[in-house]
Amino acid sequence: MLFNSITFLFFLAIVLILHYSPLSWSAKKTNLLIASYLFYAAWNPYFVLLLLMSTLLDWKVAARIYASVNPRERKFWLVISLLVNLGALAFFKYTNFLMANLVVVAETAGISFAWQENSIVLPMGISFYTFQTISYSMDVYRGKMKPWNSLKDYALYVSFFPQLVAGPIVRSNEFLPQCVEPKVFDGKGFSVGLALLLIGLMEKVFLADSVFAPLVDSVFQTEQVPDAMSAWAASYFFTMQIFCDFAGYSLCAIGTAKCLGFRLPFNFNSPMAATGFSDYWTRWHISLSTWLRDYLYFSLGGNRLGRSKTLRNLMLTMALGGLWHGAKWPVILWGIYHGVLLVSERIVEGKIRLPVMLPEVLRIFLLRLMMMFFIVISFTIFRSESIGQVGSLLAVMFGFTDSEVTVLSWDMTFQIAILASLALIAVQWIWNRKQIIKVIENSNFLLRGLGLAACVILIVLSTGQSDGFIYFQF
Amino acid sequence: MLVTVFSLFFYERELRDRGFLPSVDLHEDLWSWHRMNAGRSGDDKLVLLGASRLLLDTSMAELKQRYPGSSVHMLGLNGKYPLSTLESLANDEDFTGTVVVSLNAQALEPFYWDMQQDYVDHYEDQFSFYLSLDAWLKSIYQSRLVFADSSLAWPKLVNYYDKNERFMDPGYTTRALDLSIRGDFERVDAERLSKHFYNEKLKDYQDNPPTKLEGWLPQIEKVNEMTRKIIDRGGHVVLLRLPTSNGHWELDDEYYPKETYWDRLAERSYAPAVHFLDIDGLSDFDLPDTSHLDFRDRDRFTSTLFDGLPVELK
Repeated sequence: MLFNSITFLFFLAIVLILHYSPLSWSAKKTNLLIASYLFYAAWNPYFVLLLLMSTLLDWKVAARIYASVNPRERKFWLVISLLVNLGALAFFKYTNFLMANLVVVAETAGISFAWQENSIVLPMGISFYTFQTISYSMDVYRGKMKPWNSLKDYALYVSFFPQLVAGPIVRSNEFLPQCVEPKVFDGKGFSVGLALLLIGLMEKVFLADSVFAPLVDSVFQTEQVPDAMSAWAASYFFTMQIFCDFAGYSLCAIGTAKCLGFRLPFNFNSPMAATGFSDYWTRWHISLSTWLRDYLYFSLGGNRLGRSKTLRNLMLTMALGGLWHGAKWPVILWGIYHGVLLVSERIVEGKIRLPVMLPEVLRIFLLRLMMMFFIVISFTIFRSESIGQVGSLLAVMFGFTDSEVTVLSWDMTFQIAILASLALIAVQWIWNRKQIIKVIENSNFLLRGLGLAACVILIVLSTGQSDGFIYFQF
Repeated sequence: MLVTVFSLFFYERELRDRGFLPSVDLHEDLWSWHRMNAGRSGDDKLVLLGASRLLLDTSMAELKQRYPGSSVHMLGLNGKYPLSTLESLANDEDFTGTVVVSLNAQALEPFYWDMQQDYVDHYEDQFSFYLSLDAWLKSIYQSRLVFADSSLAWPKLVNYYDKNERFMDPGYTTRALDLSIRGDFERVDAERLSKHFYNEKLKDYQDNPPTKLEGWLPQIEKVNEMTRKIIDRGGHVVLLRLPTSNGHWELDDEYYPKETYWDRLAERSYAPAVHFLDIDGLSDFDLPDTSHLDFRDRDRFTSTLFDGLPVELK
């Protein structure tokens, strides 16, 4: 079920009515659990079994880990969790990709065999909920928490519909304690939640789908190599599109959860205001970057094994992070690209400084501009349909090849996209790390009302333009 | 909320004052919803298959009044001959209703056989109750509010304004909740449109000339296989050739002479095949663009048409 659908409006209304009706807290949690499974089943009812399997597996695994004092047995159960969860993820997500590449390699060697492309359906949200269940087992293994005492609460943690299909990836020790106390209707919290939901929908439906996507698609979905201006513009607009799409989804998830009285972690923190590559990853898809840091980077040894191993761990973490995003070579390359940037930043840290006489404001401005440049390149790679397209776009962008094919022109929709993108950048540069929830809570009632009215009007006037969320495909 | 409601209210009123009417977007999910409903068991169903002539010429209101005990389902798709959908209904064991199939001799050509196949494939392979339900709910919203029409989404308005330096003009066709299309030819230069349709059809015939008769005749048996399945399990099928007029009919008859093609279909078809020339009064209706009816004539046309069709429904 999509947030930007009429059915979701009805669904949410029913869930909210039941949630704030005079039922016991236990009954309300049962309602939320059923609602979350129905939400998931709306997409494909059969894959509900996979969600249930992942949930029950790590519930049992964590209990076994906690009950055992034998380190080998504890590790055995953790390995079971990792094998089953990552195995399922690998099967559904990467089999088509691996087989397609195997066919190509085999054909090069003169062997031909048939593989029906896209024959395995990717269960929506599998990349997110498997990471949540793995983190639960790992936290119990590391002694950071005890297994939870309620299967219902735990099942709700895994399947909670606001964040089930595209995050944020929530830690069990952030969510489960919230299941203890009954949620009482809080008018202020509800209205802030509703505001977040509307702003998120506006970002997705108006900005991502209506303003930026048509311009981006006209360049990336054509086989022709565009001219440099079109390539740069489309890459820049895709940077905006993916932010609005994903941050918009996250806001919808956080806002919906807040309407229900639950807190989810924020997933974005003005990424366009980043002044460095590691700074960027404390602002972009925060729930994933912290998950990778805590459960992959630290497990590989983090920065405790010397400089070269630190750089290796950084590179591996980012490469696997790219792989997590999808079974496509450009996306894997995107992860490697970020790994190279982070490693390079570590290597040159402290060795290169901007001139001391530069005012702080100018220094930050230049660093942010530099970051925008590298991030736009990264999203050129991410959005490309193939490695070939990555090469041809970058070649034309940097002047190694030429193209006369003008795809984008300076018309009104282009100008609106430019204005919208500058507004997005300006808001993030000015707010920097200020959380949107604080801005809403502290805003003037009239201004807030007008702002939200504008969001609704923009959503309504963008009718028919909307597509699924980009991160649903991960 | 007040600001939103008032703003949208005034915008809606402004659009209606400019002559815009609500119009529903058609896509695979919405069509699947209607196909699902058409395919449900029960013999009190009238299902309409065809392309733009069926969509514009048929008055669903007239049919619902004529057959109050039956449900009427429009599965027509603009610009696409309907044989794939007929096949889908034929293979649907639950379906025992009445199908009226609007087609012409060209529709039986092998290269036009699968025109509606993408919609049929979507229904048969990718149908999702949730997506179709959502599409149907959205169509209700679009059928009530002009600003909900995707052709009035702000990028389209902006692009139009950029090129023409004025607000978009209302089109002459709008789609209703039941998927039929309302054509208001007083809003358009009908003569220019006639020339356009004639020239498009001529080009089509020149680019895709009729198959030799020996290659076309076996196609009738393929149609019979489908109609036989429906009829033998208690359903009914009527094949129908809707009118074209002025130069357009002469063009059709030049490339697919009635005596050579349609009359042979009528002879060999398992289901009754009715040509518009066989029904008194049907040729008298004015077709402003030589091919489609103005909505003001739909009720009378539909009544005249169904007076002449062998359709027995409650």
